[in-house]
Amino acid sequence: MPALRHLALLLGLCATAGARADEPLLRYRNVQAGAVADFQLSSTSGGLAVLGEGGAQFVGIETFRQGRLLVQWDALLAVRGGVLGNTAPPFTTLIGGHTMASVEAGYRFMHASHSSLYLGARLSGDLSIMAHPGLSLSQLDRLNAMDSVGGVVAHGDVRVALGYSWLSGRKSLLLTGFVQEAGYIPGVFTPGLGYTEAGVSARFDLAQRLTLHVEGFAGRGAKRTEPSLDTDLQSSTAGIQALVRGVFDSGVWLALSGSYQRELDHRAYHTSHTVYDTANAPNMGFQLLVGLPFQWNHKHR
Amino acid sequence: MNLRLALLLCALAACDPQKADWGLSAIRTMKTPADPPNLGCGVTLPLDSTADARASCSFGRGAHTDTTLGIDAATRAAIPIRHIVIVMKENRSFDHLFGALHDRGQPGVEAVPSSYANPDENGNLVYPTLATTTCIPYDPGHQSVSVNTCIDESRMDGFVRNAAKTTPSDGSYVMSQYDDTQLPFYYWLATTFAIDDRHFAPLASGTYANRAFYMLGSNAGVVDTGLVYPSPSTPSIFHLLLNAGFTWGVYTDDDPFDGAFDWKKGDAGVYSMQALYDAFDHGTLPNVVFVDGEEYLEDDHPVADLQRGEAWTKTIYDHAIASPQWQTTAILFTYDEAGGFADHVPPPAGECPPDPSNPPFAGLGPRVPMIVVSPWARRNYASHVVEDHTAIIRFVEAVFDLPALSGRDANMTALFDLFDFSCGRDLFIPTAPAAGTGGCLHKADQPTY
Repeated sequence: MPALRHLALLLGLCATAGARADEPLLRYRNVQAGAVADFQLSSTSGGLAVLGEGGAQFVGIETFRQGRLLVQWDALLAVRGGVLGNTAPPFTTLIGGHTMASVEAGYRFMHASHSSLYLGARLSGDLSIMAHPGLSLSQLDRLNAMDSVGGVVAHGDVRVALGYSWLSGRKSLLLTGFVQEAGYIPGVFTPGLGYTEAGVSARFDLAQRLTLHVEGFAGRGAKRTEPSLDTDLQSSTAGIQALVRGVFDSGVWLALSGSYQRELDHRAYHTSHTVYDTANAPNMGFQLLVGLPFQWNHKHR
Repeated sequence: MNLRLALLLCALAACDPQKADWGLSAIRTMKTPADPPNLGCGVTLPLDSTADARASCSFGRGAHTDTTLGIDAATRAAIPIRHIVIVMKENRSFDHLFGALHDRGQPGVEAVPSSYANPDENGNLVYPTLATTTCIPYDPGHQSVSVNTCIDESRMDGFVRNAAKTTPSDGSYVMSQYDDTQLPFYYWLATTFAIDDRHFAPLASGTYANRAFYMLGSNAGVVDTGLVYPSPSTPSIFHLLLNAGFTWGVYTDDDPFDGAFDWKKGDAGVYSMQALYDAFDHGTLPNVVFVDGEEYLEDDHPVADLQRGEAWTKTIYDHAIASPQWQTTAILFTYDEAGGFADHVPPPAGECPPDPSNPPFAGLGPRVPMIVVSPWARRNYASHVVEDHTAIIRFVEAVFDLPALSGRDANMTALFDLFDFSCGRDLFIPTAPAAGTGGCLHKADQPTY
């Protein structure tokens, strides 16, 4: 596939800048594990949220089987708390826990080369359980809707990604397009939703130094029929998220991420042949995370 | 310069991160259908044979009033109402505004029992008294926690304690009541036309949830007034009217619906009060009109001067009765919720959930006034039909043959007890008095809520 190879070489130009010839090609590793604390600020249809977390994170990207396999993962277990500005002051206090896990394993077809076609699959899940002190989870309907923030919030996705991987001993560039099935469990007031999504992702890693990741996606859910009003509703979504994670000599890492997502609904009434396209308030998020490695690097690299 | 202005406006718009788009722009080009020429008296509504079925919440979303109220298509089409004007004000209970009504022109409404009192924080009983000002300088807590404190498991004795806890006062002012010397026009409306003394706020909470009920048939996830709004894809009375070819308009010089939907001036279907007066004068009313006063000035929300709000209401009335469309108009004058002011009637239990498969936190709020002003309103009539704000949309649904939005409005009555469409009755309407004056002279400081 000479054409594909040429394209791969072209895409790898930026990543190859500064690559040393003596870097081991088949082994790449950028992994952090340690205690983390983060601060999150988000605006959702459930209100403005200021949350903090404390816990442990294990995140990385690494090759296995002589560069054939490129694995990315991110796992977090944390206690989480904060306030949700979904009502008049003093706002709604929330406390609970949060866990997430994501793993993507991809095959590099030209594993002996810097550049390779990449085919990967990802499983991802996110679960947050937060309650308001004094109220059980089943009593959260006594408060304003907090479905994307408080109560039991869970979503997951299954992804297939196809793209290009460029790899050296110190750098990794992964450019992919993907399709995925994403699902959200029902909230107190909102129904569960599933989306078929497509998107693009670009990730650059500098071993034990830096991760840059940008991802955009759009998707559409299945039509939900509401026969009582002779109408059906189809939801679609689109969003973008970006992450910068820097690792200091000590092994301490700092991550800054942001996201923007909007859900759109298309409601059609059959009898009257009228349609309404609505847009929910956008979900915007910002997160600052600091990680302290379990194994402190006293030597400084 | 224009480009800079546009960029500035875009930047400001971006500062409202929770602004949703309701997709209702079709209303901008909709034309109000002409009133059928043959509307008039002589409509006889059937006896209510479905009350038991409604009481057991048998009907669901999508049900039409032919099944839930037994009104057949021919009768419905002959109802001589084609313009429904909903004037919803803010935060006054029935007893607070009309506690003297039983003795001042409408003996049909239930009088406040002489034994009714609330204990203050020291346990001393506070009895209702005549208000000494129409500018009460306090705004008692009136979100869900406060209102349930006031209701106190149907004892209706927590109003003073709640007000003392949530305002810098002893809370006794929430027991104050007005009479016809202070609010002559409001009392005139209540004694000239038809009033229901069993009209309850649909949720024991504040503005946003209660207003959502009369547009959506549910609170749609909103319990307390704050920063959460219903999803714009929620089926609403606006959608149902458009689907059926009927028009609506929202008229205010402030944010519509007191902010409950996060709609703004300039949004589709939102117009100024002057546009409403013009529509009355020129006979160009939409089919359904939503009217909101300017917050804390005209909407009667404390700390507003009630007499200013009363004068504003009379302006609407004056334009309405002079309108060429008066004969097909009904004004529904009500308040969104009781606002923490005392009322002696405990809200009944058993209201139907909007979604029977997912019954939400519920419970009616205290009574609020509901007066129907129309050529077809019963004269000097007091109804005791138990209802809430979803009776307003059920009335709209009945007149325009629309399906119910939820299980709540599906099982609700439709205000028809307040109307008389028969021929041969006295249609005379005496001259209305001016609004009251002298209750206070200035607007006090505005509270946050």
